[in-house]
Amino acid sequence: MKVLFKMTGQCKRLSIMASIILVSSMGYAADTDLSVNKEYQVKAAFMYNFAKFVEWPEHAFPDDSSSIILCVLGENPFGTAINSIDGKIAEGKRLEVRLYENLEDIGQCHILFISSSKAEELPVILASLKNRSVLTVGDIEDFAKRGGVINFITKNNRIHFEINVNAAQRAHLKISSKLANLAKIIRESAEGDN
Amino acid sequence: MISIILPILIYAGSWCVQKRLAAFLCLTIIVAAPAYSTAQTHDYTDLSLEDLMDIEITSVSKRSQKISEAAAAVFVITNKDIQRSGAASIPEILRMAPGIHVARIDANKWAVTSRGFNGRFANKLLVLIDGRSVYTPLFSGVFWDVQDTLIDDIDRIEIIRGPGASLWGANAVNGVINIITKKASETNGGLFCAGIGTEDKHFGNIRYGAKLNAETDYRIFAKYFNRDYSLDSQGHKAEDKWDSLRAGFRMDWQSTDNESVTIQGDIYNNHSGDTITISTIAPPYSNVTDEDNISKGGNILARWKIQNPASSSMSVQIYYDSAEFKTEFLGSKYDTLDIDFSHLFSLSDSHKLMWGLGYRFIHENNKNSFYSSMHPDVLNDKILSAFIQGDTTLMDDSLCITMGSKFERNDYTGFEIQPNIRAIWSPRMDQAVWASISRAVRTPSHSETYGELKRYVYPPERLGTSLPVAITMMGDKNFESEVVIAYEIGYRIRPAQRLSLDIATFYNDYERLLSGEPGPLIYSPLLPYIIFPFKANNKMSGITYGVELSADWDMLDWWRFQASYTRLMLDYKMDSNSFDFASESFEEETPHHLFSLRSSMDLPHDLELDLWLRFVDKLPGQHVDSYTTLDLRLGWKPTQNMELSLVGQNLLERKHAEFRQEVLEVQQTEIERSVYGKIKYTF
Repeated sequence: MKVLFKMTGQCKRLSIMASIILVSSMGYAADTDLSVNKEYQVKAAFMYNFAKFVEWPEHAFPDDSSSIILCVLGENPFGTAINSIDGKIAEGKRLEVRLYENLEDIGQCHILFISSSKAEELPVILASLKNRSVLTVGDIEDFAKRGGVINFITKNNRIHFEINVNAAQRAHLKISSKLANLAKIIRESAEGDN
Repeated sequence: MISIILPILIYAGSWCVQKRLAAFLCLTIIVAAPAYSTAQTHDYTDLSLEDLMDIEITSVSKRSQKISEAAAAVFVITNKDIQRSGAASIPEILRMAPGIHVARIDANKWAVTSRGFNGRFANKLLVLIDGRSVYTPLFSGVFWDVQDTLIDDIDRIEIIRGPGASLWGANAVNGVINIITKKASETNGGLFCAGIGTEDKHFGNIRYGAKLNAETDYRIFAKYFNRDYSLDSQGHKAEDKWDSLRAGFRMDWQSTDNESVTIQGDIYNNHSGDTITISTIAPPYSNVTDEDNISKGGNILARWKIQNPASSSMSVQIYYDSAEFKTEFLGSKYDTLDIDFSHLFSLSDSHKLMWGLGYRFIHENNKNSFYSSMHPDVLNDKILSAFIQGDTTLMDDSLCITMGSKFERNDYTGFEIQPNIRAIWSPRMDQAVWASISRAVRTPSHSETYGELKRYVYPPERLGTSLPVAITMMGDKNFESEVVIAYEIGYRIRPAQRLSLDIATFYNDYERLLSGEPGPLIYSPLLPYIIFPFKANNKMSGITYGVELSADWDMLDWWRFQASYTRLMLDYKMDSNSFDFASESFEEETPHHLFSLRSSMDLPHDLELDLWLRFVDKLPGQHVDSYTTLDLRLGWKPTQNMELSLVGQNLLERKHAEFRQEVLEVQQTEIERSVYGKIKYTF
């Protein structure tokens, strides 16, 4: 699926050149691509909103002009959709997107999206971030219960998200009540739904 | 009311009523995102979290999208549809919707209706702009020439065909049109737009929006246009030039606790013309004259809302609207104060309840002349209303049943009850069947109750009388509400990921429709003429039935088709004791077929090419022929901030007629082929 997604760019270009009939059949072939695309376009927009509604402790930024660094770890499911938020301004700070293949390569991050390709390494990744002010985001089952801060979930074919408030506290992140009110709240001791 | 209700509806996660609108909107948004190159990937970053949570996505595990859950015939026109259509005014935009007949009477007048009964004074369609009713009590209709806003700032237009009375109240007999502008937070930055054309001669819009503080955004806008005169049927220039100036603002405050306040308003000044045939009391008893119409007005609205998706939502809205129009022979000024409250909460996981209260006060001041008058000329109306609606989901959420009613008390017909029951069954994610039965009323307008229009004056020699005879349409205090019982069934399917189809059928049974019954001649020693009155009465019934189809095919990432077809049949019948021999023929003034096909292409080099083909069937009762017409738009975005477009409208013929005004003998003109060029710059 993800390989297919990566091909979308070329596919689109080719389709321009093909004849109407040829192209229309390709349109259907490209269906799956589009759907992945759409989901992650919306998720990218969510991440931009997260940057707006989460407050990092002051020491997380070297100075006032520092960017909010958004890292994607593992296979990038957003594709080019991630470009739509790169450079955007959130609460006066520029959002800077960085893609990383491996945990070791990661430098400073404020938001870390952990791709499902790294699902198996999740305990290691989360442990390595312990006590750092990183907003971890994922779309892996039980991501929030397992210690991630925000997990995307799909309900009724729409994207919702859950927030592990304890994980957020540990990372010294202040989640605005607007964000929290829209989220399904996960508490590590017992699950509640606000 | 609707603007209070809709956000609540769209907010709460699993409500059936809400799903229908929100899901429909989302489907539209999804298919509205054809992207040619990766650089043009749809950008959702301007949307709020709530809006994002409402976007229907296709999860990887379930390939199909859940079909909209509206148990009603809903159609949504998005901002993108509007941009791509080239349409420059709200009525022109509405031509996209199935079931809606839009006809231009002259440069500045339209007839717009849903499911039949069209006319400049069409009275069975309720129209709201950001929750403010723009329905005029004078004739129970809409003056389309003064309903406008910055078109770029319209978020979407929701069109609900069929009775929407249980939520929206009286006069939503055949449909509701809800025009929703963007939140101020979505219009930060500047926008400048200007253009020239052959018919839309000069136009310019400017808007600036910014953040006031972390929680508050605002925008202000101004727009101006002037429209050229049209041609009469002989090809001579008509006197229907039009210019319009408008300015407005919107401010949205959103606290972090899901509490929000919106304050918005606008003012306008319109100057338009036409040629009217006026009855006079002296020979030659009728006079063809050019008249100037000055319309001006303004409104201000405030809305407070608190919503918690887990439990309940509540909102209070208040608005004041003042509108005035004045010609040499006619004129009216009406002030409206409206207060609405609504509250929505869950009784359990599968039961939701929504209720609300409303109060509206209208003060109207009419200008009287021999030709047209209102007795009394000053009117004060009060309308009190309440509604309640419950939703129940059954069978693993695949069946949703909605029941509700509006209760209204007005000064004319007293207490009105407008209930409905709706059900939607979605056996699978990609299809749904819905059905509904509803009752709705159209309450009497001021004209039907108190109005007097001397439609023709017959010279004494014509009828052999001693004095001239004034054929007079007269209001009657006994005129009752028109009633409809509507039966609707619809089906939606998404047979393929990129194709969605919607079929809606309806059977409407009307009773007590307006008729004009001749009364005894009125002689008075004080009057130099005899009145032959035709009094408003309710001696007509009718049935209408039809099918509306719409299809949306995202054939390719860069090429989309949207089509709609409407088939409408009518049969009016006078009561056996009626002496109205004219009203029945109104069934000949509705097109039986409407067709629209839009093609939108995103081409290389940042070009957009759009085509819009329309067919409208003939109106034999008006001697208006059927017509087929084509609009073309070529858009180019040389940079991120700039867009140039060239639009050709009604290209297939030099000119064509669309509609003749039904009351007031205003000269019908013909719509000419036209071209305009536009530059849009955002900063």
